[in-house]
Parts: sequence; C-alpha cells; structure tokens
Amino acid sequence: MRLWILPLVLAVGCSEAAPDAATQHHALVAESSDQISLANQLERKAKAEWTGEVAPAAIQWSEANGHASAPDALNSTQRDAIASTTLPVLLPNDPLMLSSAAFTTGDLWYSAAMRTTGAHTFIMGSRGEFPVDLGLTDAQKQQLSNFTVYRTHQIVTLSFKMYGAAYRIDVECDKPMDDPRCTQDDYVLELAEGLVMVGGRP
Amino acid sequence: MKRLTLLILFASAPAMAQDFAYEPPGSLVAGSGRGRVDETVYAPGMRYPIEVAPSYPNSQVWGVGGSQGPSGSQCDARNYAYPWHDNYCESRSWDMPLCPSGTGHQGQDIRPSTCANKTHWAVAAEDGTISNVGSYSVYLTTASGRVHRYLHMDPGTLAVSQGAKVTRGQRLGLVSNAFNGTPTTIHTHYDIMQNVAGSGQVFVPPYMSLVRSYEELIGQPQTPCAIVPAAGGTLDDFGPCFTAFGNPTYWREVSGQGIEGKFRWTNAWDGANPGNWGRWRIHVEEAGDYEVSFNVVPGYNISKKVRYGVKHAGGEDTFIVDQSAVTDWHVLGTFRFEPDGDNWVAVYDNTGETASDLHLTADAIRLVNMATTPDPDPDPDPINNSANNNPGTTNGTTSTPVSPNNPVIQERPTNPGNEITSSSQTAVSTENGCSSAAGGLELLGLLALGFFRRR
Repeated sequence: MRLWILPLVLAVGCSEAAPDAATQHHALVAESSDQISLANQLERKAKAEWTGEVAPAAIQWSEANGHASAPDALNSTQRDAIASTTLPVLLPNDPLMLSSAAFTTGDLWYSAAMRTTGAHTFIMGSRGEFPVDLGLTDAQKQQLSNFTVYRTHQIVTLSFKMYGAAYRIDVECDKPMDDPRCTQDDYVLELAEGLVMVGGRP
Repeated sequence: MKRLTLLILFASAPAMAQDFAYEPPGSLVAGSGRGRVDETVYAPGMRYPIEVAPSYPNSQVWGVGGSQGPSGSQCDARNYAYPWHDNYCESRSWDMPLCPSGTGHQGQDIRPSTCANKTHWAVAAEDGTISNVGSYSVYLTTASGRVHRYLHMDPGTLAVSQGAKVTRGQRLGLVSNAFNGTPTTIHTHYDIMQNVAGSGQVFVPPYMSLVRSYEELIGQPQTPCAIVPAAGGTLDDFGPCFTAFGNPTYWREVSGQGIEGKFRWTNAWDGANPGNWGRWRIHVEEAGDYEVSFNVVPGYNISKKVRYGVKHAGGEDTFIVDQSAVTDWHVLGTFRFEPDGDNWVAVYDNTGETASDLHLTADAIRLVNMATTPDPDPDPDPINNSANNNPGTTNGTTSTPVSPNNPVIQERPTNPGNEITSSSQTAVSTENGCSSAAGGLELLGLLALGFFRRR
C-alpha cells in the first residue's frame, strides 16, 4: 500500500548563537537596507496576521496542484463554504459522502462532517500550527507526521501531514464493535489514499 | 556579560480551601499502564468540560466496577472521590506514540458528580463551532483549529447540532453511557487534538488542562509557577513563570548572553495590537512593596519606546521605556504584590515605531522587597514615563522618582552575591523549567504534596 510521506519543514522560533559582543552591532548594520526592509516587512505582516495561538504553515501548492482533483464534486453551497480556505481541501472520493459534506471553516482550517451508510466520517485539515514542544525525538515526530492510526471507543482516527497541512480522518460506526470499517485499519487508509482535492487556494 | 546564577525559591503551595486533590500527570492506577509525565497545559484558559463540580477524572476500566477494577458498582463512592487519576496513557492496544508504551487511551475519562444518567451537563471548553456530531461523539473546533471531543453524551437530548456556534461554558449535552449499545459507564471521554508544529494532528495530553480549568471552576487559586521568597528573586524568560505570546518565529532566542545565559528578542513595530509580547507571572511568598527591574542585552535594545505593563495590588500601570538607553538592569518602579494576587510584568512589541530592526529584549525581571533590603540610593530615573501621568505614585504603587532631564541610568548590582538566596532555603534553578539544583528532595516532597495532592 502506497503511503505518502511529506515532512513539513517550518521554522518555528529561531535559535542562534550570540555574536561576539564587539561585532554584533556591525553585523546588524552590515545587511543591505533592501534585505532589512524586506525582512521587516515580512515580520510585520506575520505579526499582523497572527491569530493568537497558531502560526500559519506554508502550503506546498506546486505539489498540491498535482493531486487528483474533483472541482465539480461539490454543489454551489458547499463550494461557497470553502471558498476562502487557504489549504488544499481534500475529501474522500465517494459521491455519497461528498454530497453529504457539511463544512465548518476557520482562517487556517476546514472540516467536513459526512454521512455514509452505517457510519459518520469526519475530515479536517489545518495549516495552523501550535508551537508546543512535545519533547519528541525527530524519529517520533516523523512517525506522528506519517500515517498514524488512533482508535478510542472504536472511533478510528487517521492523522497525517500532506503539502504542509495536517489532516485527520475519523470514522465512527453505528455498530462500532462489529463494523470492519471501525475494527480494522484498512478502510480509513483507503479513504486517505483516495482523497481528491475539491478546493482551496493560496 | 557575566553569567549569573539566578535562583528561584520554591515553597509549598498555600493551603487550599477545598479538598480537591489530583495525582500528578502520568501517575496511572496501579497496573493500568505507564503514564506520560507532562505538565503542559495544552488548552490554556479552557473551561472545565463538565458544568458543575465536583467531578472526577479517573479510570473507568480500572475503577470500581470496571472490567479490570475491583468488583462493585460504578456508583461506588471510591469512584467519586479525589484524588483524580490521569488515564491518557492507560493500557489500550491502539497506537499512541506519545505514551511510553507506544499505545494508550488518548484522552481522559471524566465522571460527573454522581452516577445519575442523563443528569449532568457537559459544556463547551472554548468558544467554537460544533464541527461534527456522530452517534456518540460531539466535536467542538475552535478558531485556532483545536478540537475538543466529547463521547457518550445522550444523543436524544443534545443541546447542539452540527454547525452550531457555541460559547465557552455553553451546554452541549448530558453525560450518559451512550455507546451505540456497547456497555460503558456514565462518563465523558474527553480528548483534545491539535496540529502540533513538526508533528501534525496529535491527541495531546488533556490532564493538566483539566486540572487548571477545574481549579478555576472551584475558585481555587492557580498553582504558582514559582514562589518568589520574602526577600525577592529573579524570574527568567526561560523560567516557568514566563510566557512568550505571539508568532514564535519572531521571538528569537540567543544563547551565551542574558540572565541564565539565554534571552529573547523581537522587533518593535507599529501594530495596533501587540504581535509579540511576553509576561512574567509573579507569585510572592509575602505581601510587600517590591522594586521591579528588567534586564536588557546590549545590541538587542534598539527600540526607544518599549511598553511595559505591571499588574499589582493597586491596579495596572503602563510604562514606556527607551531600552537603547539601558545597559542591563533597569528599575521600573516599586509595586505592592500580594501572595494570592494577580501579579505580572509584561513587555509588548507594538511601540508605534516604524523603522527597521528596532530590537527589544525580553530577558529577566528582578524583584527586591523594599522592606527587607535597604535602598541606599533611590534611583533618579530618566526613562520611565508612566502612562497614567502620575509617575511618582500610583494607586497602590510607590514608583521610583522620575527625573526626566537626568541622563544617568543608575545601575542595580548584578553581582550574584546580591541575588536573593539563603542557605535556609532550597534553591531550584529556573533553567529548563524546574530542574532541581541542590538539596531538592525535601522540596520535591513539598512540591508533591503542595502541587499535586493539595488538600
């Protein structure tokens, strides 16, 4: 089974060695005024856009635009709901689920609640990153960023990162102890493999 | 700059009015697995998700009447008693990479005050939108994208539906044992998932968020981050009492300088609201008038209009400071702080300045109790401009005299010998949070009693 692995590289916080005290001011003024101006413009823009808890991750649109798409899969009401979404809107490629998708959106995320026979499916994508330290090794972070299947009370949750955004797919079954969609991992992984891009813009 | 060894003195928390107590995070019921020791409050400011106290987060499976617990009824009084127990990493067969075993429960089970079914309300932890309603789940997503999930509310009496906007504390549904016919206890399974930088969507440990929100619900004072002893002390920007707000990309960290060998800086700007700001919370052992100073690092003190806020017993004061005229420690004023007061010092980046690279430092603040430390020479202070236009005295404040035409900035001693440390007190370094520096066993015992099993 093919799984995508798209590690996100995002600078969250900077760490730098202190310049020598005698030269640090010189180092600051050595940059060209254009560089300083651009850097400060970017900083001011980022500060102005800060939403309070999360930092916006950059989306790799050049790669995302190569994803299988289904631009006409949604009705006009659904399209309007995600018109301002600034990350790839991925949904399962299932007509019944697509037609039932009820969207909720924020500045940096979208989610869709969907119904199919005998199960509820929820998908959420977010590019708003919480700058918290979980104390993990790089290997553990990599593990979490790849496809990780969680399950509690038989609700299956698949989390993964793609194109710079972080996604989750939840499947909750009407018969949680008997339905293989909730007792096994295959179904949620197949949903992820079949995701189509139905919207989103830079 | 000489590196100072600065110490914060901890003491046991004051006696609490109520008998709330909780086992520390990561301490699971014996035999139920290995917990994750994580003190982080991942959802700061959230509302406790059950409307009314008392409430009892603990194990359902290993509790009385659970499949792995002592025999008896789920209504047994032992299930409805303090202390709380973390069960985020309780044994399960499913992946949970944050748990020591690699598997775990992913959330926290919470009992309401009694085992009465469909009686107790679960409420919104934060403002947000109901993004999903399953057959036994409700998802609440906040503006930041954090998802609070509630399981087992009675589906027949839900107070919300998909798409509903809710406010913090709003009723969502009644706690029950709804699980599509599968037996379970009367409880709420509550979890938090958020997009963590570098890791993606993660079920983060909710336990300490629940502790803090419960303390607020029952009116119990917030657990101190550290207690400044009677004589005073220093609070570093890498200590437990400092919080850096705003986009972390623009709080730069520099090693090798500053108090505790590390400090932060950002650039001033002209935004209407702060973009980056920092706050040192202050918990004092004794009430008193404390002289408050801050430290800056040369080269990172370019801004001339840095705004500081001080919250003290008499109210809140604002000061505009020319950091470029400061070389290290600088006195903001003298303020009265009470042990249970809402005390803090904050620094903000929206100075109104528009030029490039107007660095400002956020490093450490220092408190000196004026009742215990003689003031040999009150500072003429050329920098402070109290925004209340009454810099000499403020409500509840005895500010340092201001002498606008005096260009001299008097320095406070920075010799480590002048830092507030005594052999009779146990010292805990603030570097890397709360690592024990010396003689900490007794202190740890106090902390364990005072912070985790407070009665």
